[in-house]
Amino acid sequence: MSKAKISSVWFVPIVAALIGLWMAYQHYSSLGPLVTITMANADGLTAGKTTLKSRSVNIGKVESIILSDDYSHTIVQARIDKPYAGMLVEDSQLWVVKPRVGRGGVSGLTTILSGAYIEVRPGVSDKLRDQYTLLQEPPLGDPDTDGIRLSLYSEGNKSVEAGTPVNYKGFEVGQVEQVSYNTEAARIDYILFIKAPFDDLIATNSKFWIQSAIQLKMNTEGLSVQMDSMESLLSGGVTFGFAKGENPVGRVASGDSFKLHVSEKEATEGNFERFVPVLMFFEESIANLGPDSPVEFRGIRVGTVIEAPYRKPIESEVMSKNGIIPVLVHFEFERWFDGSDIPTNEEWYAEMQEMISRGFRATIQTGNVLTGARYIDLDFYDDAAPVSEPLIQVAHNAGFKMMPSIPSGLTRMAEQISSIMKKIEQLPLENTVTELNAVLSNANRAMATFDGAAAKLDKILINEESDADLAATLEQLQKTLATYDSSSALHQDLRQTVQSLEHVLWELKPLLEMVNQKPDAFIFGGQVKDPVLKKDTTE
Amino acid sequence: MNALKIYAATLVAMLLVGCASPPPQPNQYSLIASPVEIDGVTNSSLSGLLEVRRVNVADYLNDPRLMVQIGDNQLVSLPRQRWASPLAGELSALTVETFARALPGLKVLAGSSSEQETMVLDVEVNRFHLISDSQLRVAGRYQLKQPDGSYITGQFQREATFAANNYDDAVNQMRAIWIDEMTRIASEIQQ
Repeated sequence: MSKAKISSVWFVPIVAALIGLWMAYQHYSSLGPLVTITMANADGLTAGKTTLKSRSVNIGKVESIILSDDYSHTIVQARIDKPYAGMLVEDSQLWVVKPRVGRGGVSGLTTILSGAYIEVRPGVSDKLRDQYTLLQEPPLGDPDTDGIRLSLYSEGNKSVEAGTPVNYKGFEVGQVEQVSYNTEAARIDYILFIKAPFDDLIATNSKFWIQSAIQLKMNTEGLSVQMDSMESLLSGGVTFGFAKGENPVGRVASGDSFKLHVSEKEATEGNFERFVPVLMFFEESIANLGPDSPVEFRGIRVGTVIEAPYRKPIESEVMSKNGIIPVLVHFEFERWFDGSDIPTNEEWYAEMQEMISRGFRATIQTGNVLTGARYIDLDFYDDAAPVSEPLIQVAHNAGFKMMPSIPSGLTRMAEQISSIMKKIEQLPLENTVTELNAVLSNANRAMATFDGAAAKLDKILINEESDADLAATLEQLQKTLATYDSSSALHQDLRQTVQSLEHVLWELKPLLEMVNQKPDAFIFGGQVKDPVLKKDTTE
Repeated sequence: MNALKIYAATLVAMLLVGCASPPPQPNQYSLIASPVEIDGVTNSSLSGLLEVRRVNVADYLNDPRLMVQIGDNQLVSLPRQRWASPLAGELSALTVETFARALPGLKVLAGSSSEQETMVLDVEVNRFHLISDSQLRVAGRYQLKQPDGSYITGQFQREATFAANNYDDAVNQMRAIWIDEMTRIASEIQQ
C-alpha cells in the first residue's frame, strides 16, 4: 500500500501565499479611513496626486474624483493616513487651497507650482465623520486665535463683505467673518472677530462705523478730503471708537451686539442725548438748509437742524397767509454745557425766554459761498421785532417752544435798500435839481473866465520870444556857474588865493603878537630870544 | 629955520636906522624836507584809493612857532624856532607820503577828490609840542573808513627825548613818531 506524500514542491507556493497574505494584511491594516468630500467642481484637483494637508503636513491623498449620479456635483474620495484619522470629526472643515485674490490679499501662491491641495482644519468634536462638503471659501478666523466675536447690525445697505478688515488707528485688529441679512428684523447682521489683545479696546459704549477710505466733506467750513491707507482704499474697513467726550464703560463679552454706523460722524457726534426741540419760523427761502445743518451761536455750534421744513401738519392761517416755513431744531446741551452743568428743559426754556426778551433771534446765514451751504445763526439784535404771539401759539399747539427769527442779512439789506429808496422818493428832488442847475451855470461862467485867464498866461509863457530869452538867460547862467566849478581855473585861483592869504596871516601871527605887546618894536625891535626851557628832570 | 628942522629930522632918522640892528633870522623846520624812508607793509594786497583829509590840528598849533609846555596848563612859543609852513599842511603831506610808501598798491590822495574813494582817513592832532629842553609829546586820534564801510578808530600818545636844546633833533623825533604812527595805522588796514 502506497502512502500519499505531499511533494516538497508545494512548500514554495504556500510560503509565497503566506507572505502575500501577510503583505496584504500589512497594507490594508496601515490604510487610514476613506472620506467622501462633496464639492461643486473639482477645479485643480487630480486623483492620485492632490494631497490633503493640515498645517502644511501631508495627511492624505485624493484617490478618486467622480461625478454624482445626477451629475450636479463632484464627489472626491480621499484616503487619510492612519495616524491622522482622528482629525476628521464632525466639525472639521475642508477647503481647497489655490491661488486667490481677495479682500484679505493674495493667498495660495505656493500652489502655482505644486498644484492645489485640500486643507483640513480639525474640529474639536470627538465624533468621527466620513462625509464632508467642501467649503467654497477658506474659513475666516482661526478658532485657535484668542479674541472676541461681536454681533453688529445695520439698517442701511450692505456695505462690508466677509473678510473686510477691522482697523483701529491704522492697525488691523480683526475682520468681518460673516455677513447675513436678518429677514425678521429687516437688517443686516455681521459677525466680527477682534483679536486679542485689541478686544480690550472694546467697551459697552463703543461705537462701530464703516471706515471710508476717502472722506469728502463739503460743509460750512469748506471742502475737505481725507484719505486713509491704500489698503483701506482697496478693501474698505470697519473701525471703532468712542463718542466725543466719552470714556470706556464696562467690558464686552462674546456675542454682544452693536450698531454699525455708516460714518464716524454719525457714530461719534450724533449722540447728544440731552437736547430740547425748538420750532423756528422763517419768512424767507430755506434753500440749502436741511437736516444736519448746524445751528451756531456766534460761531459756536449749539444745535442741529432736524427737519427743514417741519412737515407735520400745522394748522395756522398765520403761516399759510405769509408763507412762513417751520424748521425743527434741536438745541443740544452737551455741545455748549459741561456735563455737570446741563440745565433741565424747564430751566433752559426760562433762560431762553429771558434771552428772547433781550433780542435773541435766529437768522439763516450762508456758511460757505462755494457750496452754498447755510446754517442757522443765533445772536442778539437790538432792533429785533417783537415776538409774534400767534406763532408762539402755533408752536405750542405742535408741542414745541418757539424760537423767534428775523430775516437774514440779504433780506434785511433788501429791506433797508427799499427803505432808502422810499426816503429818496420823498426828497424834493425837483427843487434841488433846479438849484443845482443854477449853481452849475454859475460855475460854467466862472470856468469860462478862468479859461480866458489861463489862455492869456499861456500866451505869455509860450510866447516864442519869451521862450528864446528864457533859454538864453539859462544858458548864460549855466556858463557862469561853470566857471565856479571845482575844476575850473577860477576856482583853482580862488583857492590858491585863499591859501596864500591864510599863509600870510599865519606868518603874521608872531608879528602881530609882538606889536600888540610892544608897539615900538617896529623901530627898536622886539623880543626874539627863545625862552630858556626847563631841564628834563626825568633822567 | 625950516631947512634947519629938515636937517635935524634927517639926522635923527639916520641915527635911528644906524642904531637899529638887523633882525635875527629864525630857524625854520619842516617835516617833509626829507623823503620818507620806510619799507612797505608786508603782504600788502590793498588796492584802490585812500583819501587823506586835511589833518586837523588843535588851535594852539596853528602858529608858525614851535610850542613848549612850561606848566601844567601853560604854553609858550619859541620865537626863533618856526615851522616852514602851517603844521596842518606839513602833517598832511607827511601822512600822504607815509601811506604811499607803506601801501604801494594804494593810490593815496590829499584832500577830497571827485573820484569814488575806497578809504578815507581823518586825523586830529591834540598835542605836538615840547615839554622840556629834551622831551616832546605827540598825541592825536584817527578814524579810517574801510572799503566795506566799516571804521577803524584809535588814538595815540607818544613821548620822546631829544638832544638838549637841539630843536632840529626835536623835529626829527616828532617826524619819526608821526611816521611810526601812520605806518602802524596802515598795518591795521592790512588786518
